[in-house]
Amino acid sequence: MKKTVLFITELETRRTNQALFTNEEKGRLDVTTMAVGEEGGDIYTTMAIGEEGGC
Amino acid sequence: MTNNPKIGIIGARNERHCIYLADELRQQGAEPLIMDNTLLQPFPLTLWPGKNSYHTHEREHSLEEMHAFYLRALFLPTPAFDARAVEAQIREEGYVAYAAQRERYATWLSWLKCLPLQDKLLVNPVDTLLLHFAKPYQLEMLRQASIPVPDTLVTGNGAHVRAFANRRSIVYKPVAGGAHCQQLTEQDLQPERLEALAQAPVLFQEFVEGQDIRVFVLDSQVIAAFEIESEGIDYRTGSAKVTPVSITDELSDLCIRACKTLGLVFSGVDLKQRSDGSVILIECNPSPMFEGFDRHAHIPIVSQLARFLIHEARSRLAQNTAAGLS
Repeated sequence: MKKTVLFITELETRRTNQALFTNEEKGRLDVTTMAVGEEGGDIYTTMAIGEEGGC
Repeated sequence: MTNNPKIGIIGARNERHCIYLADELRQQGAEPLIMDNTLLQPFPLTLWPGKNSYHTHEREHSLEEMHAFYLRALFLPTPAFDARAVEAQIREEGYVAYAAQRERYATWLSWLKCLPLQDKLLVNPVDTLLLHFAKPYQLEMLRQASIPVPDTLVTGNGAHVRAFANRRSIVYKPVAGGAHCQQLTEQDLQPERLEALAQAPVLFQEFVEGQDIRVFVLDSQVIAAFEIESEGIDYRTGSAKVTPVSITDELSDLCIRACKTLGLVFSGVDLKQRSDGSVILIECNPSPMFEGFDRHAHIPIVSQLARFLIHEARSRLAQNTAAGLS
């Protein structure tokens, strides 16, 4: 099967949601990566629809 | 209860804007409840007419006494490509894992769509999330309302891209989001690059030269506006200078009209202002980021949003109490 190549190569990699124009404060950095609960793992833009920040 | 309304924030309990708004609501005397709809939590929602509730491992919250909600994110029903824990579940369990996620999503979606039927406020209505995900749909709604938007092409056909570009400056971005806006180059127009469009279509737009402006609209009023100076095509990349500005009544009216057209109560509207003063609307965001802009705002966006939600919650509770409904 032919490998899928996308015109927008940036879409081929996982992207976490990113904040706009913020300077991280110590102690809040964990929020930046938006860890999901005890199981860990980041919230990625492809997991939700509609919210800005996933580029 | 009337003095300390409970406000729901739908998203994820560790997501920064959910926490940011919850902190502000608490400071203004409300009781925030972050309603987590991520894929891996035990399912928390119970729909039972007159007895709707949200439960965590700590306690059960009645949703009947809540009258205002803020929608930050609704997570997809999928076997989401990036949800590693779900991927593992799918590998082990096959279709049943997907079926479980689909049922969870359907329940969240049903409850969110029922809120207006129960005279509750949802900022923004759940259907408006699609405006960010399906960008050509948003652009067409704006275009039909005579709001100026960039000339746009969505295609998987390289020949159409060549015809559209036609010696113009063009940018491109994903239809659904997930990558930055980029400049179309001569190299992008080579056959081997254009062949990739057959796998997934791309949104191409005329590049609008001008000043980047972000306008926040809440309840048909402009609550903040910023000019953004950036070296890149997409101001989200690299460093950017954000300056609060006053905008003209004409520009305010345009943004408010765009939000009304799209059914948005709250939005971050992206525009380009040309040197001749004319304006092109790039996009209205149904769940905008505002924490970073607040570091430059004269009056924090979060405080205005929280005040609005609290006011709405109190007035709706009072109405329901007077009508004997709550």
